[in-house]
Amino acid sequence: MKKFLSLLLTLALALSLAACGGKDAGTTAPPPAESNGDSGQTEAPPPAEDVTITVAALASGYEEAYPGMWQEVCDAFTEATGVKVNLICDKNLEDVIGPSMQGGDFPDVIHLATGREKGLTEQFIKDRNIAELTDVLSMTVPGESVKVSDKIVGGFTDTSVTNPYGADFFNKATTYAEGIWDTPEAQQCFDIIAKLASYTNPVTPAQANDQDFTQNQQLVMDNKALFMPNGTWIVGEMAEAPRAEGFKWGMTALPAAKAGGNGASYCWLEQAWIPAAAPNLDAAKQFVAFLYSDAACAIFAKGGAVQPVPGLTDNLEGDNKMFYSIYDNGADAAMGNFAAYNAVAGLGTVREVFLDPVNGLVNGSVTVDQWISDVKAASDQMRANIMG
Amino acid sequence: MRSSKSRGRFLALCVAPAAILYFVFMILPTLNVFRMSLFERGAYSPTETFVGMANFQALAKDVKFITAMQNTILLIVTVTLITFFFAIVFAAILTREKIQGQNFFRIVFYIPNILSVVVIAGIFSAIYKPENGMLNSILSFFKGETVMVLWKDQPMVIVSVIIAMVWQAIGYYMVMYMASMSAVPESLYESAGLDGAGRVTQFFQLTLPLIWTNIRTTLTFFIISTINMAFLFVKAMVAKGMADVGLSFMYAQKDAGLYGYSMAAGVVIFLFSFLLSALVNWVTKREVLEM
Repeated sequence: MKKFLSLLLTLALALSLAACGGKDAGTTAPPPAESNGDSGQTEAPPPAEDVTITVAALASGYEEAYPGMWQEVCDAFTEATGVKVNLICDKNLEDVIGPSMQGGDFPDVIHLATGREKGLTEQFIKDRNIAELTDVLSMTVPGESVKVSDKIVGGFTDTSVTNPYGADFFNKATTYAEGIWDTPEAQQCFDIIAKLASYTNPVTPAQANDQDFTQNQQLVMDNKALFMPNGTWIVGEMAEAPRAEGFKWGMTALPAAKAGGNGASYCWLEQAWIPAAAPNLDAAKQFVAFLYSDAACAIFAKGGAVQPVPGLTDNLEGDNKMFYSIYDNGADAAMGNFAAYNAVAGLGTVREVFLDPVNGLVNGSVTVDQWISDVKAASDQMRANIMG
Repeated sequence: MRSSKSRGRFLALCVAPAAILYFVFMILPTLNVFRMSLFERGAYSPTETFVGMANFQALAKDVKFITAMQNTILLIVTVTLITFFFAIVFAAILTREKIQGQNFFRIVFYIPNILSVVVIAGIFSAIYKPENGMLNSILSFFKGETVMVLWKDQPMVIVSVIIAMVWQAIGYYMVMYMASMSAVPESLYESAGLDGAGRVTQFFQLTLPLIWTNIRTTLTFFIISTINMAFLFVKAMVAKGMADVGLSFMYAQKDAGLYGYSMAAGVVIFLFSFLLSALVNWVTKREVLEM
């Protein structure tokens, strides 16, 4: 699985403005601060030297693999622009910044992806509480003379979050198209997952909690399980763990469902974004632009995080080189996530309705039929409440 | 006259800081919970829409909420019964019987109470581990073959939570009862002994009635704290959705962006715990015995 650091641009535009064709809407949206149109083009930013921005970043597996990664990026940013950075870096970022945000005190930049249990980023998208970042694309990367848009690999800021993925099914399923779960393709998906559930090591659900999940990962390293779905951060996360003799990491794309088709691997996007109520909008945008600088990319790479910048994947080493080679070997990259919908009492999240019941399939507390009919019912309700 | 007036002013001034703090940080938020349960809004957005009782109507139909409340009630009943039984029995043994190393046992039983829930979750993680876990290893040893009970999976998950909660709570309440039991005068036991009452009769006829006020108070405390502790244990120990209790449901709704709905769940839990403690208070009402 690929995990890229990327602007929320992709998500903000594609999900919350899905109906209005993101990019055009973006450039004409009223800028909250009048100066951002021009300030980006000039090398030295107008913000005074004594500006301090607050950056809240999730301490993910990458930070664990290379402790101090975010602090180093912030220091490099201060060096390049003179803007001071107050970094909040925590594993449970939501609990650290959540209460003060409820009280109206927002950080300037937040690095926190969608799809987390607490769904903080989703809530900001749903409430339209994120700042418009399209103009960051035309800004110059601080400390360099290149525009941000020239540094991002093509496709990543397209309005479709699922660009290179050939099949239509993925798009339809993630937008809850009517009858999508009644199609033969959907039935095939359900069958495959039900079959995988019957092959799953029975202890897995008992350890599928925050306290014990590394024990499940350990099963692979002890040669007690052959495969697990996971991300490239696993190498850093389990670096200290004991392993069977001669153990080596390997990775393969999900095999094609039909003969002659392409395999696919999900491409994880990290997201950095700016709350609409951020006090230092201009400096925050500078920081987001700086995330694409060669200096920042090099620091992130030390933690195993790969920026979607041309050429960086060529310089990977060791396990990461092998991981990313699956795309060279013909696998498609699947990108994107389930579309945002207005929360409805009693409906539950995508994770609760679609994914968590797979635990129940393994331990036998949920039947396949029950799971399928729940997914169908929830998908219909989600479509009815999709964000336009 | 003058002095009583200034005395009253002085007293009011002394009580004011605590009263104001209590009002601002306890009463106001509680009232706000009730108000917000009538609205729909996200946790981080300032806009809100009035929806009346719609949140409560949805709650009544929400299967997840009903399951969560069932789990809460199950935990309250079982954990309370088991904890109080063991706490009282252990307290009686440690105060009334002459046992080697009484203080040692008292400390050992009390230690779980000073541990944080996260630490307890870590300890029980090792105990409940399916392969080579402490509990499964002991069971395997006695059975003579490998036992693989999945403690943190359905259907054992709720039992695992109960065991951990009882283990954590016993010590504290045991020490409480030991304190009130040692206040019962020795002479009462002596005269009861002369009248031919055995140890068991002494326990039921003397000890229990004389510490009843203490039991009653702690019972109310315990039930209210169990509602909260159940959430902490479930959150720290098991996977989301395995054994959700009322408060975990409330948090999950907040995370899903349904702040008003989660507040409605909060209101129901608040009223539930309020009524439950009133009920317990009423049921356990006895004539107070004087020593």
